[in-house]
Amino acid sequence: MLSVARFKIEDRSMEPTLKPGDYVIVNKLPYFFGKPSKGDIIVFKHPKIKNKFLVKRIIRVASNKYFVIGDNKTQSTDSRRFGPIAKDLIVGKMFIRIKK
Amino acid sequence: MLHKLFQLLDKIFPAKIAYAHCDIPCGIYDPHLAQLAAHTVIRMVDLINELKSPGENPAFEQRKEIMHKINRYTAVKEEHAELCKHEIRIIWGDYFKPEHLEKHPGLHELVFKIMKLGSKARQEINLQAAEELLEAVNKFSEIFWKTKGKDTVRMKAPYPTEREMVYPKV
Repeated sequence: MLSVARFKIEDRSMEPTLKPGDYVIVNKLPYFFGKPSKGDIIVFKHPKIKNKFLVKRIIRVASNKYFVIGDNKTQSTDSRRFGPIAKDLIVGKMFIRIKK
Repeated sequence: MLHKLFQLLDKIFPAKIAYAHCDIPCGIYDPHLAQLAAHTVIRMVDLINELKSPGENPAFEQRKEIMHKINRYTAVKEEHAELCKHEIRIIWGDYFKPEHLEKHPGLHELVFKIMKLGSKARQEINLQAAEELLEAVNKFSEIFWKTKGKDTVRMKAPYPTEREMVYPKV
């Protein structure tokens, strides 16, 4: 199993940080040895829809749950809708962005 | 160059998609919420204007009651004027394409007008501004449905505002 994964961004809830067509490389290792932190941009499994991944930013950590939000708040479905997420849903932390 | 490399890599090992919008993606757009919001703004202005003065030296209880009503009507007016602007911004920014603009060259100006009228409706107790907002949103709705190949009809809405609403003919 690789410690990195490649994702392509669709749509705009993380603008201006991430734009549609960008690629991100996520690293799975930081969260093996440490915990997700406020400010991290993460890719995680959708808490309600199978086989769907989302990319958001962690804005708050509380009791081992992570509140996530899109940087483009008015166009983001995130923890305001589906609540905080558990660590086991997190795929990895974004560490490289390849701009379109 | 790295992006091009990744695009080539996609042909062999497609990258998974990390969604960053409503996460479906849905492709569902409808100006109906904006129209409802505009009607609500008008209704709140009507309700505020219907309030009667409690007289020269009203009792504390009367003042409390009227202030409570004004606060609530104003809060709802604020919320729905902003909701109207928000719904229009989403459809304008996410749905409309260049080919739509070619057929409807006044669209950007209409959206700008809606933004300004929405703000004015928030800032003032102004029935004319609220009615102009509804009219602009109704025009926006007509353009929207036209781009979907649907004719529209204007009818009196079944709300206390008794103003028009644009409906698609289905």
